[in-house]
Amino acid sequence: MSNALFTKRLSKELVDLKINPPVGIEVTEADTFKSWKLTLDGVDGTLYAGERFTLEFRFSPNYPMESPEVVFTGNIPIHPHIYSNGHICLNVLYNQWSPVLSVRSVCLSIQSMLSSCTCKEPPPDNNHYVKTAKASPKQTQWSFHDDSV
Amino acid sequence: MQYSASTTPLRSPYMSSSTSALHLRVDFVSEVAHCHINSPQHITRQVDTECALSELESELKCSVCKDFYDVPMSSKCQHTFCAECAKFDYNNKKTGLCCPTCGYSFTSFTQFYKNTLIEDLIKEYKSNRESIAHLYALGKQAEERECREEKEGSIKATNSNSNCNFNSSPFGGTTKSKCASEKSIHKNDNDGNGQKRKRTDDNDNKLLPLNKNIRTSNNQLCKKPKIAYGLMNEKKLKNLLKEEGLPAYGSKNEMIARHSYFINLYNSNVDATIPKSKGELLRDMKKWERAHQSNEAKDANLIKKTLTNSEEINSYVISPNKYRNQFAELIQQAKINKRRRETA
Ligand SMILES: [Zn+2]
Ligand SMILES: [Zn+2]
Repeated sequence: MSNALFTKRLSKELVDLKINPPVGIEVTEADTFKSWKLTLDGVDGTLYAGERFTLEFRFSPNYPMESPEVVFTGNIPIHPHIYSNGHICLNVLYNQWSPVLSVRSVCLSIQSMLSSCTCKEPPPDNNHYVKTAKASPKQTQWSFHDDSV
Repeated sequence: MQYSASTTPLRSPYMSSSTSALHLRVDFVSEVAHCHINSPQHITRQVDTECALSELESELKCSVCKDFYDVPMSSKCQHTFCAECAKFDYNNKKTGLCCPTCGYSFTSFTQFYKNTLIEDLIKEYKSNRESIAHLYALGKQAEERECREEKEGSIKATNSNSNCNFNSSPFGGTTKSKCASEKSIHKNDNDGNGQKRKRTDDNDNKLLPLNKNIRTSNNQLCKKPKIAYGLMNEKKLKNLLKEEGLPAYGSKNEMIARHSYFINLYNSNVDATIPKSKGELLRDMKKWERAHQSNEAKDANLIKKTLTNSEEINSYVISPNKYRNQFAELIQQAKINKRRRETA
């Protein structure tokens, strides 16, 4: 049953993203329902203007009841909440996930997280985290104490 | 880059779904191709209709599966999900059972009840979607024509005639449908904060500039206190009713019912986004009085009923001039009838 929901939801999301794409966000790879790639453009007038990043979404068959795994690949933005291995410290991807959220809303959250950044620097514990982190950011015990950036 | 290698095994189990994804792409392409066959004007109209209907449809769709509700289940917090979609999996959540839209926490899923109203609405909507789209397109067309005529400025007699017809288009005035499309755009833009957006939606609506103006101009509106009628004699009650411009007749219970209904009406009007005038409220009261009486007067004798009715009408009349013409007409009619009867 959850598999029916999984495919129905993702096909609707894909059509929606293709027909009505949010500004600066584009689906580049969605051949399967297990992983998609999207490009995210830095918004004009922000520290990331003119840069293009790639996000990878990996879905479990429990999606949308379970959050997708979302990481940056390739060119990774320098941001206090983004580790150099591509992991993103964003509460909606982990404990604050809700099945009403979507690929679109996650992309927009990440876009706004980048846009509101005032100082391009890596997270203070980047080196330690990258050495110890598991492949999936969902296996990290995140603590969200700083909502200001 | 290490992780991409380590996650490969994770990918393999869902290979089967890849075919449906490809299918979907084909569908999508054919949909776009289909659009190109039509004239550009036709496309905008079609898109407009789709846009306006999707606004309406979004109200009938589940926010989890993004499809029309299948066995809609509503919760205490006024959010609805399909029965299947309401079985949230919160194993990995510290928050326990809570509404995905607003975060309201439940003690069990038995706090959901089946919403047959939404179920029926969806059934009706699905079976009438085509005619709704057609009506919308017609209304849109009429509006466009109206706009063009307004721009041209020269209003011929014949044109103004047809204008009248178009005004009664199924979707009302121009402003209404404009609002709808603007709102849907607004919604899409804000989708980013799916959760937050839902929570603040109500506040957004309250801040519509139009309503704001009305609010500020009606700042003096404040609620009337509830009254302990039990401590009052009839004279005091009558005075209370007269103060509000309400008819002061009937038994004590009737007067209490009338006054308390008015207070409720008045107080809920204070909360309304577009408050009614006192005259409108009194007219509402008149309607209530009629409905109320038709129930109560079942046992009362007819003469008494007609008497109180005329008294009621007198006490409600706001502008007697308004009825003078009707009255004259009635007299005229009566005279004609009388003459007819005499000749026959
Ligand atoms: Zn659903
Ligand atoms: Zn809720």
